[in-house]
Amino acid sequence: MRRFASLILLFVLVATACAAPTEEPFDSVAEIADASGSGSDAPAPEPDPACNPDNARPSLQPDQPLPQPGAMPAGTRMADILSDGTLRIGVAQDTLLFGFLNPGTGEIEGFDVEIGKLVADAIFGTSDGRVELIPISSAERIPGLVDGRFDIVVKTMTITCTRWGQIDFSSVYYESGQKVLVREGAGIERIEDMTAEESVCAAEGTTSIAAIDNFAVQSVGVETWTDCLVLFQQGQTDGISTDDTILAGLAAQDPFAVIVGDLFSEEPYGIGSSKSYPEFTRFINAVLEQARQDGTWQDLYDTWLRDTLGEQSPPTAQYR
Amino acid sequence: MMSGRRCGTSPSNLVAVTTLTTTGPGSPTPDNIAANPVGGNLLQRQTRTTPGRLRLRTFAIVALALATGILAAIIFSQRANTVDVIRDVDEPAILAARQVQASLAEADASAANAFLDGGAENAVQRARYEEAISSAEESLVTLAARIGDDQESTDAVVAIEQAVSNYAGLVEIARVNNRQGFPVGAAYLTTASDLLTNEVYPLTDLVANNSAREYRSNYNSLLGPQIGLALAVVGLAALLTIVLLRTHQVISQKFRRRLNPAIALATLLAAGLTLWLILSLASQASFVVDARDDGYSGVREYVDSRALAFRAKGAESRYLIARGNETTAEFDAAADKLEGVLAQSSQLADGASEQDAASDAQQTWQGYRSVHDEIVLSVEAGSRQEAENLALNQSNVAFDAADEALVRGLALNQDQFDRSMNSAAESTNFLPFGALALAIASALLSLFGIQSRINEYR
Repeated sequence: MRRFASLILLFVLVATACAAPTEEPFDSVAEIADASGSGSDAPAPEPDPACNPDNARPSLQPDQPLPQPGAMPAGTRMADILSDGTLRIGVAQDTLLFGFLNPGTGEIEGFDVEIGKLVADAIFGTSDGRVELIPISSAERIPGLVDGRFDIVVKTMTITCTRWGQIDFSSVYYESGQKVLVREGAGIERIEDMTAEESVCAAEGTTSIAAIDNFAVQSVGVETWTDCLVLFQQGQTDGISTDDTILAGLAAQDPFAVIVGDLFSEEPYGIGSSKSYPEFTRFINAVLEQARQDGTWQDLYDTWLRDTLGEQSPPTAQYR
Repeated sequence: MMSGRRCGTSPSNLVAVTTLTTTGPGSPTPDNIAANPVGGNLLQRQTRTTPGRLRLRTFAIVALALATGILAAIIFSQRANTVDVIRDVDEPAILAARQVQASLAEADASAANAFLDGGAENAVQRARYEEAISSAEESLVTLAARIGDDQESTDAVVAIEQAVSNYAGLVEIARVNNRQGFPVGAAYLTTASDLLTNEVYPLTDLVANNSAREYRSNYNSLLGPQIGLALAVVGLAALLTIVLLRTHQVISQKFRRRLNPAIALATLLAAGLTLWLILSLASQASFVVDARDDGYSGVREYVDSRALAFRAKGAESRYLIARGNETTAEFDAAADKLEGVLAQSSQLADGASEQDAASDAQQTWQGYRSVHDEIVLSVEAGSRQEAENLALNQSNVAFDAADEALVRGLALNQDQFDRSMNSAAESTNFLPFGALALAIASALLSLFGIQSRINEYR
């Protein structure tokens, strides 16, 4: 009997060893976690001391006259770009009218894109096959220029003294200003009508989100302007506030959205470029100067913006 | 992961050891009991005479036989029931929960891929999206039927159903906007995808983990310490055999009859029952271990590989659709994890067909991954159009080959699981009824055999 008892004990021991081994639990989020890298928190940049806080518009004097396309002066940034063969332009791909991916053609199109191509035309003689359009978010505009991921940024970018501290701007190529977009029939006629109970959405890293904080309404920051439209259409925010130009593009995608109130900020748009190559900034200014004078600017404006934003003529350039 | 071949119980070893033991000495016999009268007057009177002692012995044998038969029937029915629950409820629930996730990941990958084709939308991918959504819904129905009264899982399934319909709604909004050329379409697609990652997948994990816990607990009740109950029944049957052997010996001596056919047959039946119990228990245990180590663990690996593969494919399309600040990190994380799982599957694979399936999966996945690398290179070189063409054509073809390999691996392992569990169920098919019948027959035969001898006293 004792032998039988020990056999049972043995069997129990074997069986216990056979008991289900602990296994990893299912965890679908952790298994590909940390997939999205978080942006680094850079220290707040110092504004450019040469910049006037009341008017950040003045840029570097343009090159006069423009060098012949395909024959850039040696040692300049333009000569490097010419030998690289492509001009890399940071653009929006979700801002209707300015930079957006046309699902029909698969191409990124818009007013900003055409302004950027003028620079390529001046360097290569043509922009066909000479331009690499890199879709970026608003927050990436300055880091991308500083890191050299692209040569210029043409992405509804407001000229400010803080930004002048990190990058160069061209002369103004479009004068915009901030407004607010709300639901039709919400009884809101200006941003001042909105309370602290309500929220307004804007893209992170823009001048628009900073401007919202001057009012009672809460601000909600997201990655892109179309993300704001998603929140707005899903009822998770009560409005979107940014430049009238961007709002016009958003309103065109939503029949129940209206743009209200007066401009409550001045948003002069400039082409961003690296601070390391002032000669390139002067070159860009000369390209814009030419576009203002020979009617190219007007043609582009009429093609892309006139229907939505009304008659306008090119903004006057200011230089230091 | 799962260990286990060394755990496999071999029926033949157990039989050898245990049968030896049944003939061992030192077992208590009714004689010993009779020699120590502890009971009242009746018992004392009975033990004084030979017929009295034989009557007591008969009573003990019948009681022992009935107890053995009844307990064997109850305990082995319960074990058979547990085997059925693992086979028909627990494993299918885990599989269904993982299938929900794999199908949704497939739907998401297809929706994103269809988007790449522009406003006109890729019809093939669109159809695939719709198919994947319906198969996710089918898996949800399967799942709902198998989670029983687990409140947490039931709530989770309801929440998944709701989230899936929200997801489909967001994809439709994305589609409508995209058809009009509105950039907000792409933002809706990302929102939809985030809904799956942040809300739905954790819920499917929760349900799968609850069902896996059930599986573990049922598995442990077949193979863990609770196997002691079944062993006690084996012990009773062995005891019955010993008592009958001893009875036959005693009667042979007292009545000078070498063979008492009825008692001898009763002893044989008891010995047969003991053997049957041991064999069934050992083969049931070994099949349940096989089902887990060769079937279930592979099912888990392949179904999760599919989900990861689709998540990587979706990340590839979103990388192209995205506004530029999307990185390849999501793809890389899913693909690296998947490659780890595939390498493990290939290591643990036993048998030629499993080995083939595992290496096939690895090769086809590498084939797809090289197309993906080409896409990333094209984007980095500024040829978005080329990258999109690759993503819509070569990438899909290569990916489908990899997915087919994963589906084959999944089917192979599911088949192994089913076969092992069916064998586990069959190994005790007739046992509860048979054990009871054998025990009763043995009791009746000994009653008849001993009574015939008692009658000789009259």
